[in-house]
Amino acid sequence: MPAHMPSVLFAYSYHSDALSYSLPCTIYFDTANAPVMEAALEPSIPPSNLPSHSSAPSSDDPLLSVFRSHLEKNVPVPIAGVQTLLHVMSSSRAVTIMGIQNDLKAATSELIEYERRISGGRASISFRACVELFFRYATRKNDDVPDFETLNKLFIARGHHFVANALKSRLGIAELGHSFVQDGMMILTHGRSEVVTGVLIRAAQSNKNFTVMVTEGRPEGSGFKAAERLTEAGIPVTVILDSAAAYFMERVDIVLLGAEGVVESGGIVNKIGTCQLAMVAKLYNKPLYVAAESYKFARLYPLTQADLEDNVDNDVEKPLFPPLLTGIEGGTATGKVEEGEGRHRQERGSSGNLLGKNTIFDSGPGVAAMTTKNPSCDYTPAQYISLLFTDLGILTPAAVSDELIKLYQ
Amino acid sequence: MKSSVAPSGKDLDAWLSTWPHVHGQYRSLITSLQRRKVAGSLPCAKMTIELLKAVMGTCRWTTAAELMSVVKRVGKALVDAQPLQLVVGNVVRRILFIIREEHKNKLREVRAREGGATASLSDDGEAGNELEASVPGLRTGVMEAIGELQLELDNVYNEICELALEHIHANEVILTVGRSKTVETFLREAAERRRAFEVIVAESAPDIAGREMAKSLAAAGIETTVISDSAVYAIMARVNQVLLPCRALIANGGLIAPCGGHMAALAAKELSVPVVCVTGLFKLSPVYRHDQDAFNDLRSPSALIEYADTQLLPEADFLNPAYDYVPPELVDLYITNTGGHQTFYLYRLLGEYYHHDDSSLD
Amino acid sequence: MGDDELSTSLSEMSLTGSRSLGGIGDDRPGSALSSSPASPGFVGKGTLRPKHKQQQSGASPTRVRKSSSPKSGKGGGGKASGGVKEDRNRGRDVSSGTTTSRNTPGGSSRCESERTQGHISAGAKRQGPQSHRGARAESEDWGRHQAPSKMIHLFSHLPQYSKRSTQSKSDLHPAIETLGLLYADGSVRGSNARTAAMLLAFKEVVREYQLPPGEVLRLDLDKALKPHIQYLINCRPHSIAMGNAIKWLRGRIHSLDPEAGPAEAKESIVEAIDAYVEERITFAAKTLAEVTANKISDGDVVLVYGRSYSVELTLLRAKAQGKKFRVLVVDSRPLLEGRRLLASLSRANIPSTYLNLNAVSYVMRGVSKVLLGVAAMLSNGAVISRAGTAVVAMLARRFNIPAIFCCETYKFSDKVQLDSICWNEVGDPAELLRPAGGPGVTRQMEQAHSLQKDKPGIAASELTASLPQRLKLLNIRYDLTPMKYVSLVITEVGMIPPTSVPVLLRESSKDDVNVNFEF
Repeated sequence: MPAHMPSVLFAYSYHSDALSYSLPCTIYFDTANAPVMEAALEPSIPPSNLPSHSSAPSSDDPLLSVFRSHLEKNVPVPIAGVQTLLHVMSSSRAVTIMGIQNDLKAATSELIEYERRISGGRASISFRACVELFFRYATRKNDDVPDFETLNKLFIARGHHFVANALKSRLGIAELGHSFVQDGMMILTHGRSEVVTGVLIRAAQSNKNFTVMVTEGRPEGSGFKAAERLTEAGIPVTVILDSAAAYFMERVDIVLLGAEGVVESGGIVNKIGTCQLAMVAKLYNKPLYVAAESYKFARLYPLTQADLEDNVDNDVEKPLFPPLLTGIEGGTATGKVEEGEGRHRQERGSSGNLLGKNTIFDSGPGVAAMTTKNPSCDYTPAQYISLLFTDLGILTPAAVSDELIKLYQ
Repeated sequence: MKSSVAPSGKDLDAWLSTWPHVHGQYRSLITSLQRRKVAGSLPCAKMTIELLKAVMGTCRWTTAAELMSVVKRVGKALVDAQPLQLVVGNVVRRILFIIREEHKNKLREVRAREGGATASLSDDGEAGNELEASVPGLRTGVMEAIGELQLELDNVYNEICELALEHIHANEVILTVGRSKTVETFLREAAERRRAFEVIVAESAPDIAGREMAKSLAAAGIETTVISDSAVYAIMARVNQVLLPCRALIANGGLIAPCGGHMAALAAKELSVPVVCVTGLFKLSPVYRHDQDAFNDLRSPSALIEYADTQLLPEADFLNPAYDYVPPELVDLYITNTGGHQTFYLYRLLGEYYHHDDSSLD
Repeated sequence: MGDDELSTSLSEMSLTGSRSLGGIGDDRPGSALSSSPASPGFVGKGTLRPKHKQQQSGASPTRVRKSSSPKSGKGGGGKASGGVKEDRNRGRDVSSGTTTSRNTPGGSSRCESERTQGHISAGAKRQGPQSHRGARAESEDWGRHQAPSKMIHLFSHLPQYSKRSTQSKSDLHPAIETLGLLYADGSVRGSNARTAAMLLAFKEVVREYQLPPGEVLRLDLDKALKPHIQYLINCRPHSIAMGNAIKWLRGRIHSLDPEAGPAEAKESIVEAIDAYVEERITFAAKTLAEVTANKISDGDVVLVYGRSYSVELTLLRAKAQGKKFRVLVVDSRPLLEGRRLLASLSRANIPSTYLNLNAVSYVMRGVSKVLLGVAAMLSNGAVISRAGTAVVAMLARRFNIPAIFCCETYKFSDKVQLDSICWNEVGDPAELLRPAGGPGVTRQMEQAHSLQKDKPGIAASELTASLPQRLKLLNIRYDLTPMKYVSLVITEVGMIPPTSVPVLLRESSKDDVNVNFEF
């Protein structure tokens, strides 16, 4: 595939080749085509046929064990995926460029499927974007280099470069972003993002006094985890209900969010609740900043919330109210947040404990008849975003597309 | 033998004193910046270039990295002398960018002559340490490029004025705030080219610079009306376009305007009047801020009230900020020496003028 | 007639200074009206009767600014307790701001005694004849420049500023004539002061009115009032609130009992006027200040614009309630009214910050409430107020700060307007030529200004002389704040959203005289 070919054609050509590697298609095609691609994906790797897709994958799948070993080193999931691919690349026995690429494609699909499993049935956008970007970046052909050996070495060198850059990106973002935090500010954040905590901790390290307000991040309570990280770093944190964002917005100076994926329009896909938070911030003319690594840039262009793939919104199996409200005792899920209990002061009133036991939904005949919907992420359009802090620099939403075009050229 | 690496801080002064001519120039610019004696952004930019050129021509350096460290150190001292005069930092970063570019070009030429596959490997930008390499012809290349930059600055007004007729239609009512050389030149140019339009000037208290602006415009044959700042909203309903003066254009697409600019821009936005900022791109600064404290300056309240009066007002204090931050969503268009630009595209221009590694001069 | 022009422009130049001085020396709360030359309006049941008949002399009339400067040390001046009522005694000396050359210190007799002769003569000396000639030349010069070619087309439908119109006719009541001059030179400013002063002057007219034989009082009195009204309008176009009051007065006259005797009828009108001033203006302002003060809480940062009587009362009231708050006084050229408010706040030990309108964006983020005065509340929810109010309210909304408008119900109008252009008032363009900082407020400053008076309008002369042909000046007095920027309207009958203005108008028209005061 010639490198100069426009990326659109590039993506389509994968489709027409009907290669088992369907990643770029899944990511690139608009939603109208998405189901088709999902269908194309499924037969190639039927989950039931893969032992590795069980909740406790067998350790005999070498690929996944490499992946897990990287994960254990506490690197971000997408980077662990890329490191795994790098491993595939260097250990591949293929003797042609095409062979290497095919090996990578197969490994990529497997990883995506695995990641989908471990992240609760939905492949994260950043993971897919990152592995695709890696593939593009590392295996870009170079006409100057005729022989396979040299080229393969070049590929691997690029791969390492990619990983090294990706690993540095959080530090770089913290470095760029912390100057936006000024003394005396109240910063609102939502959900848990390592990049955001990185920026905030960096700001605290440069002796700025500010306070952070974190939404609890229902249902999994990710806000508490973020709050914990921040309090450990000595930053005053207040945890508020997700639904209290508008109430507190007038006191907030800036909103700082992470992103699961940054899409072509400059908008972001992030934890559910981000969009409404961004709307409130806009209404109050509060600047909203997004901190995200450039490997989260995805060639997606969602137009409506429904355009988000895999965004489970009718899964009754996934309970809507655990674990924060359905009681501390019982269930392993609650264990995760227990540690946070009691440490968080409550802003107001004693009518309800954010973490306390709640028996309203424990029983009752009506509960069974209820429908619950619980999407895990939403799409926030670019108009609500002031700036993005990325390792490529501080970008306006308009610059995202620019960068994406460059990345995928 | 002096080290060719310029020291920072106070040592810089001593280091530069080896070259009395440059040192004198350096001291005098630092002093006039500190005392805010250089009026206007353009002279400031030009003087900074002159100084840096002299430093580059005099000081010892062999590689791009060394040259850049000299420029950074001197630049830092200039910026610290007057942190609010953003054009100084802009020019310094612009010159750093020029050095990088020239170095890259020269290096490429060298590599091309030497031939080999190494050239193709370096295109990934992994060449961080290459600035250490010494390349022939860097000095002349950089000086030429800086000469072009100076030429660009000399022509800023001409280039902007070329666009005047494109943006002003017949019988248009234009509102502007205070006095700005750029806006004034732009409007006068349009009038000289026989476009008939009307200008309303908000006087811009407390210094009432708008009055002088209005006099100058009227002298150029433009129908000019002076209003007090309080009438801005009232009159806005009949205004076709707002021309904002600009002290600095900042990276998120916002701008730093004289105090009152935000008010006028917001009133225009509320009444759907297009807001246009006329400015030279040398004012484009790779810095981000989003609030009214950004790069602001509190001036002496003597313009507001006599000192003697304040003695009778023990409970009162006085506030006279110099600038306003106008957020990007309030500005519709920037008319610059390189043409018209939208706020959302400014990031791109930043990439063409500055290297992001130079955002800090430390 | 150039005389009037001159004195006006002169006093415009110097007024603010001497008045501010008065403001500072005057340490009573609620002095907003009382200490101002506007106070005739606030004489309440006091009088505005001239002591002597005016004598029309050809000599150039000199206006002496008799502000309530500490020098004039009138009775009641030192009292800290004064509500509006106590202020009554006070207003007198101000009402005497008249033309000395006519030897008609048109103030009340009480006031007359309070003023020292020295004060007058000092004032007269300051404005010696030469200075007048200079000033006249100056203003005529200006007049030529601001001739029709200098008219702003957009506002050509409005009465243009002109000093000629203050020329009086001999058949006018002297109280009206005095008042007209006070209007024209800006000594009486602000809706409340202007309306009250006008009504009280009309009261004098009514009192002295003699029913010609064979006429019906309720028709002839109205007819007799008309030239007076017209004269006042000539001096300065009346505000909407004044229009309301005139409408009310004429309505009142028309509805006089035809059976009643002339004396009885006149007395009923006089009483009605007193009641209107008392209830609709004085008491209303006090009541709404009380309500508004309750809206101020400890720690508030209150931003106010210019100097509005009810806003000033509110702040003083809140201070009296023991609230701890800071006031940001926003001011704008050319009138710089905010300085007097600043002085008054300073006297009341209210911490305050003074800034220019342009700097509002800079401070708005730290503001918790915005308090604004109103000239007229229109039935589409829009507010007409001193120019600049719209900008302040707009910025308040931008920063999500509530903008509270203080408005007595007599200012409610069934008019509807969408912009600031259809109805407005074109002020003296030369005001824009005043020097940047405006006049000072200290005594030294006053002296400095008296020097300046000898060389009147330095800046003005320089500028007007060199005023290029195509240069025009526009000085509009009002602007219209659209409903979307109005968070709350506080009236003496309670707090209402701007959407309820027509409701209140409807309700109050049912029982004309009033709305209940229930608090």
